[in-house]
Amino acid sequence: MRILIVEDKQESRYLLKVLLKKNGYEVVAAKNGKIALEMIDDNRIDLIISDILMPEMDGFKFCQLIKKDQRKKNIPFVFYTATYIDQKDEKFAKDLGADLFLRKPIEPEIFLKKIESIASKLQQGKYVPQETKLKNNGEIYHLYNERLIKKLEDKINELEKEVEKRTKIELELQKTIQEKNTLLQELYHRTKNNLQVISSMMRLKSSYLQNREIEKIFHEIENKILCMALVHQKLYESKNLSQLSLKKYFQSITELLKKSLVSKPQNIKIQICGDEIEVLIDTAMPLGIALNEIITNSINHAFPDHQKGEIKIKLQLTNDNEMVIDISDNGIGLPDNFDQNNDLGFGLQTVKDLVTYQLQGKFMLIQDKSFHCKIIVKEGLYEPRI
Amino acid sequence: MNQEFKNIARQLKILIVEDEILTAKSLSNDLKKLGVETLDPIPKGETAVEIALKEKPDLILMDIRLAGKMDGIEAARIIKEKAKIPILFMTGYATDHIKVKTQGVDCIEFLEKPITVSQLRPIIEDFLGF
Repeated sequence: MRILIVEDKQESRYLLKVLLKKNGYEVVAAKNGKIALEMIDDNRIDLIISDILMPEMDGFKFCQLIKKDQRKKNIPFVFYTATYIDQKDEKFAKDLGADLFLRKPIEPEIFLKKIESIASKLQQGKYVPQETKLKNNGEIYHLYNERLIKKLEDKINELEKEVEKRTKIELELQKTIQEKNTLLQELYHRTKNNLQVISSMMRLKSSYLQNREIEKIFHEIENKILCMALVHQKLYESKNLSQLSLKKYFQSITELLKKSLVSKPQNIKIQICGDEIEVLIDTAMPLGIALNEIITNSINHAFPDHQKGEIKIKLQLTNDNEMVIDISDNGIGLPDNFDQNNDLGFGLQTVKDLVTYQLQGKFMLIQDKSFHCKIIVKEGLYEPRI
Repeated sequence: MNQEFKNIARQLKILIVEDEILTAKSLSNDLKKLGVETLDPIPKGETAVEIALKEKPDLILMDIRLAGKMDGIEAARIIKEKAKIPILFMTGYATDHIKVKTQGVDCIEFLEKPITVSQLRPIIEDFLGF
């Protein structure tokens, strides 16, 4: 007994083949109706099991051609289908001349039993071939088109449901992203607030101090804390909550220092110019503390006796993606015998450490009448965290 | 005992691996008060491996989040494969997540930042056999 399986899906073809072979049938297989027809021309086939939805030539068309062919029309024909499962599909299939119409999935034992019943009738010579009830070509085409259109409509409905499902998921995802942003903003806001509270505590405490020197140290540390609070404020205001504008951050730092330093620098102008550069918090924070140190130094030491003065900060992003920060004032400058390697005070040493160690960049003091320095750093030391 | 402690502590060589310079310097300053000298601190995992294997310190204080590609856990794992140097992890949050990640890396202690002299002293004492 040789069975021909016509099925486009490789996996289903294989499973069916194994099942039938295990039960003593000889099996050949084709992946669509067109190939199957050629195979029947070349081989003796006792029974056909065919899928319906297949490329090139589907099962309905294949069945019609079998039933029209005098040499093939007596081969028992079984439809085995997963997609065309409607009552009307079954009626059309049977009217075309199919012996059986089996819907997937089906228990292997039941499937085998059904095949077995046809096989035994064949062997005993009791098999009566099914004739096609549809003699008129126009009628066949009409019914066939109806089946195809119905299938198409089902498919469209299915797709519409899928689109609807995905649109819902997309909205949920957008909501989740929005929630993440709100959460981050809240976090930045709280961090900023907490730092401001610490700074206020120091300010309160310092108002009880008798020692001017200690009071000055308190104020400087307060400013550093506020400087760090500013990073969080800038991140809160930034679009992607991950990077902030270095220029705007520096602007806020200088405004903060101008209004809060003990020696009120009314006569000192601070100017920031140059490129817009977006940086991560890991780069912004050390640069902010460094700038704070340098500007505080200039305000405190460069212009004695309420001299008028100017501090310039220039930002530049080179083609190599290096950030060059040029800071200079027009004050009295560093002492004549200043030694870059040994005379850096706590403030400038901290700047050098932050730039060379933490940001792996370069810090250069430039020989000039007044104070002038350059910081060169590159981003990319840290991966973006959010 | 204090003087004796300091005399022995002075012979120790400790390496700090920490990406924030101000934290590294403050820690090194605290250790100096205990009489312990530290090597120059290291901000990157890759450099930490290189220096640790070259200098063979008696103890490494290792931060987990570092600059560059290699984190402290990975650096510790490589150092441990090649040398028997005790390692102590320092981290902002000693969460379960981090503890799972450090499993299999033999470390003597887990310290949560900020690290104080009072936390370090018993560890150093223990280490010196006091």
